[in-house]
Amino acid sequence: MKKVLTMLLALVLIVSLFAGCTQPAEETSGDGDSATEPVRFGVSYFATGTNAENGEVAKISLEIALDEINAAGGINGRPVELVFMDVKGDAKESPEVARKFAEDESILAVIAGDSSAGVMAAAPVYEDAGLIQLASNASAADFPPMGDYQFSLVGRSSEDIPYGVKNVIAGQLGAKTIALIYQNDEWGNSYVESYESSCAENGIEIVAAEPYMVGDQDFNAVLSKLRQANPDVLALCCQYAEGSLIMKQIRQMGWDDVQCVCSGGLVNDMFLDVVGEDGEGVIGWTIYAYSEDYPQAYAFAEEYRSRSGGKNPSNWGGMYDVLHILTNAAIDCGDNLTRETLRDSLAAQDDFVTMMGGNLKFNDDGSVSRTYYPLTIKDGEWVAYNG
Amino acid sequence: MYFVEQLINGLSQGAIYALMAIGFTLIAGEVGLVSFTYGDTVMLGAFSAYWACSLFAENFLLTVLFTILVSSLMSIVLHAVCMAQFLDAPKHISMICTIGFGIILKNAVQLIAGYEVKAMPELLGRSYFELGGIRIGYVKLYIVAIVIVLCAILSFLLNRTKTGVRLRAVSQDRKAASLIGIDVQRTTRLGNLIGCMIGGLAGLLYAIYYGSILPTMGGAISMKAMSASVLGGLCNIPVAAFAGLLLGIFENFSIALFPQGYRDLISFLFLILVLVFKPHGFEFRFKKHSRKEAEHA
Repeated sequence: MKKVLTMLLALVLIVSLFAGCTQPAEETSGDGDSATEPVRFGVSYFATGTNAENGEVAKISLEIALDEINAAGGINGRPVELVFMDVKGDAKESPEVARKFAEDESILAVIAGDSSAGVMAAAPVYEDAGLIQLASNASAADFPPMGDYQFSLVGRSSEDIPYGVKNVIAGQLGAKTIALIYQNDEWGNSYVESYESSCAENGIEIVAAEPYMVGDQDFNAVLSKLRQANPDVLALCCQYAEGSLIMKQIRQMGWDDVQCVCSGGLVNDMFLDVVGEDGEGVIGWTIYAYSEDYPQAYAFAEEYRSRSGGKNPSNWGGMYDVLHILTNAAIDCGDNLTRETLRDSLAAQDDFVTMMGGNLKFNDDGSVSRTYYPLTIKDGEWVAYNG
Repeated sequence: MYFVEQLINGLSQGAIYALMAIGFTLIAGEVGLVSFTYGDTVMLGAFSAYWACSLFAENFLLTVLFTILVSSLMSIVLHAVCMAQFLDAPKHISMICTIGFGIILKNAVQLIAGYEVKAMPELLGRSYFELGGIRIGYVKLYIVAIVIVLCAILSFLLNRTKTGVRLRAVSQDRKAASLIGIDVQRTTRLGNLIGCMIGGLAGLLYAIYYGSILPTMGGAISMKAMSASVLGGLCNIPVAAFAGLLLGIFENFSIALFPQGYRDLISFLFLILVLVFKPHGFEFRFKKHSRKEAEHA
């Protein structure tokens, strides 16, 4: 009986391990005729790990775009196929996933639903293979300049933070001092650099800056330390898992006389769900506002809600735009669609349209300059912030 | 006042470490079982409490009972699969088995509850009192009180009851214990059950204290529970609890002087330094007491 139980448990272990691991590549359905073979794009994303909920948003958003593209005839008559692989929210996994995509010659480009740390770790692999890595949410300013095949659609921290500091922190709030709490990785450090230069330009003094490690759960000590500096504003340079814990602990310790601000990583429903009432009054800015003021973004959000059981998309919904833009670049290649021609076509895309509006183009380094929208939490929802 | 605030932060966090260290010390030290599932036991306790809040309309008593029930059932399966049949085998077999069991638990919770952070209802409210401008939540005091009560109950159980004598006897020499008529399987099962129940309760209090839980939270927790337990010499519950408190205070004061990013580096450096100079942790402080007990026995 014990042996049977042990065997059963071992089987469950193996199944559960595989359930959380990389999803298998889909079978190609081509019959050898290149005119009808699917065009295959890789997707590296968070299927598991602490950022898996972002991965879910990314996957559903890509599926919405995929259905639209294939219903409209695909790429010059060829259907589009996505091959998903899990980077597990661990930057050490990203180069390994990149190697697998690079070795598969049918993959013409990779959409990266990965962190800045992950895409930067994988970038050398993609450069060696001459394979596009187009990131949806990696905003570290140092990422796109890493090579000719690196692109990012999210906007750069070097533009995101200057917008927030100038328009929100200095402009609407009139703050004179600020403290930062940031994730200690490439992404978080790029935000700190951006805050340092922007605050200097706007006459705001950074009175304290404290890093934390991904996965930390107790922030009381570091918040006491930041409180000592008595800043007007506390900037949360965090992802939602840690950001929501920090916000709750700020309120639990009774630090009520500080205005908390954040950028896009926290402007989503996941943050709202965890912080609850503790999030009231937090101000953020983001590139995606799914309100009725932006019909295409609103229509996308409606479709997203119908596929996700009523959940709202976060800024990871930008994956929808990523696939459309990559598809447009592939269509422009005509019959000569290779990794190299696709790279040149993508870099040449100008005046492209996102769900928030158009007139965007890639900068020389592969980044995009985006427009930001200030929001605040009021009655448990992100709403427009007008000062 | 700043250092007083950090001391209170350290005591609060240390109390959480102490609570987790108590359960781990009971399983690994007092009963002598190998368990690398402890962090995931705490995680399961936290999620059981979260589910119980939905099932029983946030009734605290029913939540506690449900958490204990789930932890107990898990401990029985864990013992049957990973411990009972390997009691006489090399310890690494049981060790690998418990690691695998922990992975199953974590993946199972991820499949059931999803991967995202869950907000835990404030079962004990958010009442607090102020001391010189520092806000101290009653939850922190409850946790310290529970640690003290558990230390007292378990010390009594282990040192003043036949069950405790049997648990320690099995830990010291299973064959000899078996020869004098002690049911080794039953005794280790009981020790693991009590340890897992405490782990589950620690998960419940952890969830209430931090207000949010995550299926992957077990890894960091088990490292801190083991650290506190090792600092306590692995075989003494009150000393393990004291070591947990000390670890929490040390961590928080280290953050006052260094960036938070160095927290784990500094705390594990502290652990290594203590073990280099005091290989048995802080156990020496209670040596005299233990010798008296041994003479009495």
